[in-house]
Amino acid sequence: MSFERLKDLVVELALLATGVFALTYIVLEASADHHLKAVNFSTFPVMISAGIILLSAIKLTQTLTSILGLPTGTSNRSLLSLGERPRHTLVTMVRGNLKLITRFTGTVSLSVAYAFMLGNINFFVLTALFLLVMFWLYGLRHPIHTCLMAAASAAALYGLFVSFLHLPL
Amino acid sequence: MIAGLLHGFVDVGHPVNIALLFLGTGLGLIVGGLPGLSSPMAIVVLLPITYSMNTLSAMMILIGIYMGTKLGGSFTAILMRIPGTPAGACTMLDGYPMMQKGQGSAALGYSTIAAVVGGSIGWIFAVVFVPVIAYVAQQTSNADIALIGLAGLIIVASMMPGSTLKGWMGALLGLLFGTVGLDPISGINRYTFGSINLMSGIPFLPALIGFFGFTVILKDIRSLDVKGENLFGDATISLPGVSEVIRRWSSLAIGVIYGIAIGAVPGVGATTSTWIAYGFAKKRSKTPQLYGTGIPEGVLVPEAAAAAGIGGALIPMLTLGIPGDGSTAILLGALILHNVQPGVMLMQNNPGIVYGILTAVLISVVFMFIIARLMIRWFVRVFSQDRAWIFPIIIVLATVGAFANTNTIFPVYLAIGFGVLGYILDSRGYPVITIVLGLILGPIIEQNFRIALALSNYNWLTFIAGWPERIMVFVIVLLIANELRSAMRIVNRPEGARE
Repeated sequence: MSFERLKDLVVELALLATGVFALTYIVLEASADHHLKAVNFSTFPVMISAGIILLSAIKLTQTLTSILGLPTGTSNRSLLSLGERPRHTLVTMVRGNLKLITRFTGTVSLSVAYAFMLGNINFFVLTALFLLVMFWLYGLRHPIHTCLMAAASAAALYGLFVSFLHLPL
Repeated sequence: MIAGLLHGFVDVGHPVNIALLFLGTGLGLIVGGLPGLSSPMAIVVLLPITYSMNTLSAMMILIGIYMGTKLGGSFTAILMRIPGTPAGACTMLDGYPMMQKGQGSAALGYSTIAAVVGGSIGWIFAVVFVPVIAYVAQQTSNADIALIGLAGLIIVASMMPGSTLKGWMGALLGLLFGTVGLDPISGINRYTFGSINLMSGIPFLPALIGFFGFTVILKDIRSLDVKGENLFGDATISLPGVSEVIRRWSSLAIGVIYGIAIGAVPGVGATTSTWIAYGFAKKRSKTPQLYGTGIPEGVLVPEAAAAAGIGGALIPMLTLGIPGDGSTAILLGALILHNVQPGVMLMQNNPGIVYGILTAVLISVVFMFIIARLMIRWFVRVFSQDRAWIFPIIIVLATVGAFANTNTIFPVYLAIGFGVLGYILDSRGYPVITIVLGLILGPIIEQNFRIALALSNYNWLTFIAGWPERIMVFVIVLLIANELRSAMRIVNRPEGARE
């Protein structure tokens, strides 16, 4: 089973689980109220959840069929859809793997940390530090340039958001 | 229409609005030229800055960005062989070879002229058709509005490249996200899990910032080390003569027609129109073998299509509340954030906004021409910079933008979460624009759906009461049935055949 198929499988299972959870949750909520009309607050979510379950089941079936090497149907490309999306291959993943993973996880975790500390630390200091670390993460290593750019950008952003827009940062 | 347009010119003619439009167009040219930065991203990141502005002023800067990116994307395509926008990829086919032949200035000139002509003619079509379609749309009932929204969503999802089922899945996810919060009719909490933060629903702005800001950055991290080759140190724009342009009128016409027609189809966008127009022009040309070797026609066609597509995309956006592309989806979100409800009643309730937007498009075309000619040298210097400098600043803009929505941190976490979700789904071929559309259109569809049923005493036949409704239901059912049938059919395939 290729890595790409495995990723497809995981995403489709997650979507199926989301649909099942959403359907179960809203049905339980609706069943607790016995005075509901035929069309009520749960109608739309039920329809949507059922749609998600149906489509993810179909995609899951296609993926499993492909993985198991069984004869399967034609492509589900619509007559209306135009063109293919490029897919990440195992080769490209391996090639840029470590640097990419570092940058990806670094971006997400640093962004979360930055958001967490917003309002607790001086905005200018926090932003300058954040930018400095991000520049380094993205491969910019000249110390003077990165420090100057981080400070200048933080100052400009401070002027925009705090001085001009009066945000409580 | 004329009176409305004149009012629009008066409103937009305010010095502040003109300045914002000028600024937005300049920003759009820069953003369009920088690979990895897109029009939707620029619009969504700058959206929080417009909170303190009135709606029309806010739309000025956003419309300016939208228009500017159309031309900006071709600059780096021609000069560096890296298209700044997906639509610029087609311009690169002939633009870069022209550059290599020493005709870089001419290529930029043809690109600029095509964008101005395409943008202007697209504007004319929008001005003519928006009032007409808006008038027809205003005669609609709640059932019609629900069906229009649903049909639009299904068509958009069907038009996405790749798997239609994945497009629909994205739309359904967006619809599901749209149900979070207090039910507007009964006041019952849905999917809030006891969280006060979710009681008012998933806020638009963090979702937009997540999907169009963080997702794009996470996707483009892998291309940070790719740098373009700039053979054109001292850039200028050399405009072609009138006779040169007139000689190539058919190329412009093909670009404009395809741009408007395809741009008006919800969800398709400028990228597709440029390739289809280019392909058609090449096919009907007496010298098709010259396309791709560096001829002006190869630049004129896609650029005219991309710019004209703006007029086309604005037609469904302003009349039906259905976006023609990602940028118009964000513009719809911007209207909602400024308490203007898009949809079939927009023209009736806010004609000043509609005509203001239309007027802004024309003025932005003029500004685009002026700014490009004056500042191309400076733009080239900016385009040559490493994007590693820009992405962290965008992250800060996005983070603070999400914070500014409610001055709380929760939306920021939502935005980052949606960014990661968008990255994962996009990498597996699920188009994030359909999620955003579902989030925007979901509440509108549901509310009108339930009101229509309530008014008809819960008679479901109200959705096929008239011929327009029957046609829409037929189209919806046909699309769904066809796709499900294709997906579920089990036929022996030759070995090695792929999906």
